[in-house]
Amino acid sequence: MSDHDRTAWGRPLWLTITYYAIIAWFCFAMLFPILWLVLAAFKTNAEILSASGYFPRQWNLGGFEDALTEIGLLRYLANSFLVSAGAASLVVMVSAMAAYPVARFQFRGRNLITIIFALGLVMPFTALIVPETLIIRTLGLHDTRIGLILLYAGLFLPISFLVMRAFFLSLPLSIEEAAIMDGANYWQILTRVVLPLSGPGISTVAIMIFVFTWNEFLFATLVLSSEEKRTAQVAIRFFQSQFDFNLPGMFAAITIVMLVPILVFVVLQERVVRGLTAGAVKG
Amino acid sequence: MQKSLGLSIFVSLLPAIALFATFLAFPFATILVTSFFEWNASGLTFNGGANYLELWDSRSFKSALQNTAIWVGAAVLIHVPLAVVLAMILSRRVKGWKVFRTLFFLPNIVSYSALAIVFLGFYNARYGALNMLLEDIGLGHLQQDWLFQYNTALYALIATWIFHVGLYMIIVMAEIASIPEDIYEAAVIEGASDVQQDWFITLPLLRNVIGTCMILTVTQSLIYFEGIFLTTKGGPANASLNMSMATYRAFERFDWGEANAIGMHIVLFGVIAIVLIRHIFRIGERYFD
Repeated sequence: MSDHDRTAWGRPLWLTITYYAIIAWFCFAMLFPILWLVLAAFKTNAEILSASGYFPRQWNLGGFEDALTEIGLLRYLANSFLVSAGAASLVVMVSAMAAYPVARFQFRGRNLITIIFALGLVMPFTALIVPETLIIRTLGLHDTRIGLILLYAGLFLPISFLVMRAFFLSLPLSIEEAAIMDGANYWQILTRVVLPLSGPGISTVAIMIFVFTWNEFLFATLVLSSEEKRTAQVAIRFFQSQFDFNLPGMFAAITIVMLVPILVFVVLQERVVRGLTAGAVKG
Repeated sequence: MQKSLGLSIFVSLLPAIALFATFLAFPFATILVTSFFEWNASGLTFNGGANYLELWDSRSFKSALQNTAIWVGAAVLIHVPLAVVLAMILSRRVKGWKVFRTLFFLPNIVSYSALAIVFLGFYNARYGALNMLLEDIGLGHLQQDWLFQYNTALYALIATWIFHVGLYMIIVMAEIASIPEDIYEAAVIEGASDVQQDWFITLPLLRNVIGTCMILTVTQSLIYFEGIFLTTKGGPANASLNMSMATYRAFERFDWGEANAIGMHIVLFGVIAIVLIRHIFRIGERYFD
């Protein structure tokens, strides 16, 4: 597609200036609070409280030291990683197994399944806190990581299912047909032919679910109660009391917690964007 | 062969169906039914629509409704339009557009709970960056405790989120990129400016995707929770209470029937919003045939 007509070519100067003014204002409105906090993490407590200047007078790493040693942030990060990686793998497996037959075979209830999953996509999670808490307790999964992983798998299944289904629909049929001719059965086709070809779809879903669950707060708070199982998001709730007026420590901890999904995003940008837009547009 | 294929498909679907039934379908059925029950730690008794009547009579629920409505209004009137404007500008490929696209998306990838602490610091009355900034630009008389006073709490919270339009911006940009170039040809020959092209040609073609963004943002606004729970907890005096926070409060005081009745309102408003937006934006109708 040639796009020179819609690009900088021949644009009047005043319009270019207006564009950049709007962009600059957005950069400021979106990023200033976050940048201020990250910079403050390098200050001393007294310096933050004196509210003098945006940049630290001296780049001070004490806050980061406190964050990593004083409250066991590394353990919370490890917990988050376990839960998110567990949930992402489980969701990928379950949604691929469900989306494949729906995308490829004719059977009764096929459309119904798609419709019901699409309805699940718009379920407002916060409305469900009472039953989810009780189900987790009844199943004996309260305060277990596996309970939280299963719950996340359930909640994020609809979006993963729909993205996987769209991906399978976009795969060419011919290879599977050849496999059927060779006498391969359903499971052989799925595990040896389709899944190896589905790297992009699988990684899109996995990254998306990893970021969603990494950032999830409400159900992590409801399911995990013991201190040593807390995820990073749950830990944030206790930062204020744990850090007890150690503002650089708290800000450094927040900076580290924010950094993980940002790194995932910056490294895997294209995949994340594709996943989020695919999920959103399909919704 | 045919029979074993059917069995394989069933087995393949089973885990998904089990998870969906356990963590979505059954919980939804539960809140639907038990919203008509008095339900607390001691047991479950049918009480007709008493939970609903109580809610519609309660002042805090009225605040929650009102605040949620303001939030949704801001989402529809400010959040999505900002995303569209930004998407149009970046789609013009201004220098550095790729960098800006990444920068604008970053806040969307950060958790609401982390952002809650960011803004707790940012708005802090004693050392917060906002008051500092106001002082520096000569508006020191506007300094105040933004999050914890009645008149500003809700708007301060809305402002923590309203500029984070990156996700919708990217969705709209993807749609703009798919508009065929020849549609603009006549306008370019007639000498229409960028702004005229965007307003008269691009914008009408974005109807579907804007509708989709509206649905997403309204349903997200209905369930917004962390930023309130970790800062104001709905206070002061319900000034920043929304529907999700009200649900959580009822849950916490073991008033489960009422929590579920509020939950049913959230579900219902979500469904109404979706139906309404689909209708207004005629989502699904094609532009060309």
